[in-house]
Amino acid sequence: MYKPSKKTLIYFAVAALFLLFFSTAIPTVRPQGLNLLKIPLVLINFVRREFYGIVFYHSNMVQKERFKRDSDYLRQRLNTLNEIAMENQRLKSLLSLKQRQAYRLTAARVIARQADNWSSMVIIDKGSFNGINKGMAAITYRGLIGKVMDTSGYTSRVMLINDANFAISAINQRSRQEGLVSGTLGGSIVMRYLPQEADIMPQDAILTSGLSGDYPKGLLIGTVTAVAEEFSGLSRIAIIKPAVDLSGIEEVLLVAS
Amino acid sequence: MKKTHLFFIIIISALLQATLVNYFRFFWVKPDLLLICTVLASLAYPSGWGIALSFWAGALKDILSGTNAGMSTLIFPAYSLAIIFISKNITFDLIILRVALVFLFALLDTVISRLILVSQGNFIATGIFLRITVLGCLYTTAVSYLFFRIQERFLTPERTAPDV
Repeated sequence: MYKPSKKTLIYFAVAALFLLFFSTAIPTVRPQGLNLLKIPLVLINFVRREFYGIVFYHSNMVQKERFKRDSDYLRQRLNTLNEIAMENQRLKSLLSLKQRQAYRLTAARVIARQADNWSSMVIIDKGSFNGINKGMAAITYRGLIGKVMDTSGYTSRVMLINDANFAISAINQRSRQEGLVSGTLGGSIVMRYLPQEADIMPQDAILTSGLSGDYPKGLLIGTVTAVAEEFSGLSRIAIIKPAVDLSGIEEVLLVAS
Repeated sequence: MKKTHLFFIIIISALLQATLVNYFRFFWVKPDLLLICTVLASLAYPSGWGIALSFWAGALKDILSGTNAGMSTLIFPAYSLAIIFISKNITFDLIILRVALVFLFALLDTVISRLILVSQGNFIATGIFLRITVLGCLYTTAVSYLFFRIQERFLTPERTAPDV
C-alpha cells in the first residue's frame, strides 16, 4: 500500500491551503481578471458580429426593410402617445399626484456570458468608471432582463432574470395580482406564491411592482404562458415567457433613478 | 504537447466558453471546455504541472462564472490529482477511455457543484439539476472526443519506430 512520506504530506497540506485561500479570494480577484479579459472578449465579439453580418447579409436586409416599416408605424404611435403622456402629466399635476422619477439610462454591450451551467448572467463592457453600480436594473426596450451583480472598473456582471437566485416582486397588469418572479435556469421564469383564487391567465402581462427597491415600477417582465398548481398544493404558479429573448441579448440599458 | 500550448489552449477555451459556445447551447446547457482541459492537462502532465494547469483552468472558470464562490479553483486541481493517481494504474492510450474519464469527472463536477451551491444557500431545484447533470455530462463528453482527436492529430508528435 502507498504510504506518503512526511515531506509529501507537508507539500500536500501547503498546496491545499493555498487553493483554499485562493478559492475564497476569487470574488476579490474577479474584477481584475475581468478587466484583463475584457479586450480579448471584445475582440472575439467584434469578429463574431462581423462574421454574422456577412453570413446573414440577406436576412439582415429583409429584416431591415421590416424594421423600417415598423419604425414608421411606431413613430406615428409615439407621437400619439406623447400627446397622451403630456395630457396625463397635466392631469396628474392638477390632482397633485407625486410624479414618477425620470430614469437615466446607460447603454452597454454584452461581451461574454457565464462560463458555467449553474447561473445565468452576462458580462457587459461598462463598469464603475462609467457610473454603473451594483443593484442597478438592466433592461432592453422590450423589458426587464436582470440586475447588476457586481462591477469592476471597466466591466460588470449582470444576473439575468432566469438565474435561479433571481427574485423580484411582480404584478399582473390586468388583475393587479402580486407574486414573486424567479428564474429556472431555462427559457422561462416562474411567478410564485399566487393564492388559489388568483386572477391570472395565459397572455397576461407581468410587470415589476416597484416594491423591490432597485427596480422601477411598470417594467415589462414577460407574458404568462401557463398557470399551474404548486407541488405542495397550497398556492399556484404561473409560467412566464420573458419579454426579452435572454439567449440573444447583445445590448443592455442600465437604469439609474 | 508543450506546456505553453496547453496554457494558451486553456485561455482560448475559457474565452470561447464565455462567448461562442453560448450559441451551441442545448436546452440551456453547454459543454465544459475547461473541465476537458483539466483532464487533458492531467493526462499530458501527470505531475505538478498538470495540477498547476488545472488550477489555472479552474481560476479562469471562476472568474468568468456567475456564481460567487471560487469552487472550480479548488476542485479542478483535486480532479487533476485524482486523475494522476488513476492514470498510474490505468493506461489511457485509447481515446474512448479518456472520453469515459471526462464523463466520470463531468458527473462528479455537477454533483460537487450542486453540493457546494446548496451549502452556500443557492438552492437549485432537482429538475434543473437533473437536466444540467444529464445533458451537461453527455455534451461535455461528446465535445471531449473532438478535443482528444484534435490533440492526437495536431498536438502530439508522431511516434516513429526506432531504427533496428
